[in-house]
Amino acid sequence: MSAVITPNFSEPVAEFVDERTKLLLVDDDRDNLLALQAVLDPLGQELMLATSGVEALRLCLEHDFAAMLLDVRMPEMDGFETAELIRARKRSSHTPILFLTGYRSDEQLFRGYDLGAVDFLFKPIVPEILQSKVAAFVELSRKEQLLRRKTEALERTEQKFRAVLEAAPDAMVITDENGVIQLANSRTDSLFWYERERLLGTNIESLIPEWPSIAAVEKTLPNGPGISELRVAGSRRNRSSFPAQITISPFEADGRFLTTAIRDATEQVQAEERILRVNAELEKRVAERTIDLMRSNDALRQFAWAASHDLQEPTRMVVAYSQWLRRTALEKLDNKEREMLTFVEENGRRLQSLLEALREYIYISESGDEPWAEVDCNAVVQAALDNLEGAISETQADIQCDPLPNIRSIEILLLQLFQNLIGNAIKYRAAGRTPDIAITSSRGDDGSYLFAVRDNGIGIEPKHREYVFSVFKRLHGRNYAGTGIGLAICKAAVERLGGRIWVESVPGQGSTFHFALPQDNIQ
Amino acid sequence: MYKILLIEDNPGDVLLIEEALREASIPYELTLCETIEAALRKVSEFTNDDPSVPDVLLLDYNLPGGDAREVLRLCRANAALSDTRKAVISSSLSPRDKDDALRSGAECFVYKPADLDLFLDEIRTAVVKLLAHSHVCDGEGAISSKFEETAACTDL
Repeated sequence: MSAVITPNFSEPVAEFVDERTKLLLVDDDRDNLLALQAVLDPLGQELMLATSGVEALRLCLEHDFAAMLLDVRMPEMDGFETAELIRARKRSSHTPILFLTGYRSDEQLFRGYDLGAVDFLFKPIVPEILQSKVAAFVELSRKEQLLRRKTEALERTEQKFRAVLEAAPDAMVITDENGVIQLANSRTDSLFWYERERLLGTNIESLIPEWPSIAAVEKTLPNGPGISELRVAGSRRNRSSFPAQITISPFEADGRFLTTAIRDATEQVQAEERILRVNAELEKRVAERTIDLMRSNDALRQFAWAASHDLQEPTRMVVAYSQWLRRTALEKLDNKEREMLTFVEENGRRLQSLLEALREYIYISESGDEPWAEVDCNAVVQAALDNLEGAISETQADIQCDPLPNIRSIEILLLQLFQNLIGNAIKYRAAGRTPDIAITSSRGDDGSYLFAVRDNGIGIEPKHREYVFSVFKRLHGRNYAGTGIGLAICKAAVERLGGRIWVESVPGQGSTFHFALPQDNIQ
Repeated sequence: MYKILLIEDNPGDVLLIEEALREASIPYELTLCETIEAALRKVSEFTNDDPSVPDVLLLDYNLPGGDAREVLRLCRANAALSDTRKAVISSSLSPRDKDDALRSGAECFVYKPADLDLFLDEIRTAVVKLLAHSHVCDGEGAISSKFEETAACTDL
C-alpha cells in the first residue's frame, strides 16, 4: 500500500538536520592535512583525518561521511587503490570522493572517475574552490539525511495505521471512490473467506453487493459525511450471505478514498428476532390476560348486579311481613318481642338501602349510554337541593352556591355527584353547629373545571382520607345514617366523566371536597 | 265477582296481593300460575265465551324460567282475552322494563315498593284503575264511580 493514504497517523519530522556531518581528509603529508583542515574548519563540520589509505578504510568502517578528500599520491596504498576498497564496501559505496592531485593527466582522471570520483582538485589547492565544493556535498548529505528520516517516520506511521486496522473488530476495507479495494485487514479475510491478496484490486461490491453510491456516502451526517450502521447483506466467497452492518466514511488523500467498516450482524439480527418473538409472545399473553381480566371483571360485575337484585326480593319480604306482623299482632307481643320485631324491620330496611346504593354504584360505574350534552350546573345543583329538601329544612342548613358554568357532561352523573356531596355535608354536620355549605367553581390552568363543596362539619381524620371514596367504607358509627357508598358513587361518577376527586379537611372544622372535570371531554 | 289471573312465583307476594284486594273490598276469584310455563298454557287455553276468562291479569315481570313479555304477547294474540286488563308488577324501576312491558301489551306497570302500606296501596290502586276501565264494570255503577275517584289511569 502507498503511504499517501495514511494521513491521520503521521508524526512531525524536523525540517532540517541540526547534527554536524562528517568529512574525511586523507593525505600522507601531515602539513597538507593541517592545511586542508584550516580551509574546511569554517564549514563547521566534523573533520576526521587519516594519514594513510589503511587508516581511511578503518574510519570508513565506523563512520558515515558526507564526503571524503583523498590524496592520490600516497605510499603503500595510493588514493585510487584506497578509493577502490572504499567503494567495495557497502556502507561507503556511495560516499562522494574528491581526489587531490598535483598534476593533470587524462589517464589519472579516467581512472579516478572509473572509481567513482565525483571531482578532482588540483594542487595547489585554492581554498575558496575547495570550500564551496565541499559545502555542496555537505548540503547534499544533509538533504539525504532529512529524506531518510522522513521516510522512516512515514514507515512508522504506516505501521501504526496497520496495527490499528488489524486490531479493529470489524472488517476494514479501504477503497477508491469506485469501490476498488486498496487495502483490507485480516478480519476481512476471516469474515468473507477470501485470501487478502485476491481482494486487492477487486471491487468491494463482490463483498457487499448493495454497497452504496458515492453520492449517498457524501451526504452529510451530524458527525460529518458518511453512512452509519447501514444494514446490508454480506456475500462470502462461496456465495453464502450473512447480515452485515456497514459504516462508510470518506477521506481525501492523494485522491478520494472510502473506509468501509463491515460488521457481522448475524448475532445482532438473531437477538433482534428473539426480542421480536419475545415481545410478540408477551403482547399475546397480555392480550389473553386482559381478556381473562375483562371476563372475570364482567363476571364479577354481573354477580354484583345479580346479587343486589336477587337479594332485593327476600329483603322486601322481610320488611313487608315484619310490618304486617306489627300491624296484626302487636297487641299479643310483650315489650321484648316488640323490640325484636323492630330489629327485624330496621335491619331489613338497612339491607334494602344498602342494596339500593350498591345498584346505584354499579349503575354509575358502568359505562352506560347516557347522552353527553351541554349541562347547566346551576340547574343540576338546584335539582340536588330539591331532592335534599327534607334534610335541608330539618337541619336549617345554610347553602351558598356561586354561579356555576355550563359544561359538556352527563347530567345524571353530575346530579349524583352534587347530591351526594351536599347530602354528605349535611349528614356529617358537627353537633350544635348549623350546617354552613358553600359550592364554588373555578378554572384550572389546563382549562379544566374545578368544583368545591365546603362544609363546617366534623371533618375527616387524615388517616381516613384515602378510604372515604371506597365502597361500604363507613368511618362513623350508627349515629350517622348512611350506606357508606355515597362517596364511592361520587368517585365512580367523576371517573366516568374523565375527572378526579379529592378531599381537604381539618378534623372538627370541616371538609372541602374538590373535583376536577376536563375541559374537553372525550365522548 | 271479578276474575283475577295472578302470575307470581313468590308466595309472600301472593299473600300481599290478596290482602290488597281484600282491603279494597273487591270481590274476587283468584287463579294462580306460579311459572311462566303454566301461565303460557293457561292463557292459550281461554276461548271466547269461556266463563273463566279473567277480568284482570297481574303478571310478575321477573319470573324465572322465561320471558314475561311472552305471556303478554300471547294474551294479545288470543281474542278471548281482548277485554282482559293486564298489569305488570315488578320490583324494578327500570324505565326500559316499563317501556318493554307497555309495548308488549301491559296497560299498567306497577312497582313493588318495599314498604307494606305503599305496596298494598299500589296494588289496590292499579287493580281498581283496571277494573274501572274494563267493560265488565260498566253495569256496576257503584263500584266504578267509587273507583273513578282514585283511578285516572293515564296508562290506559
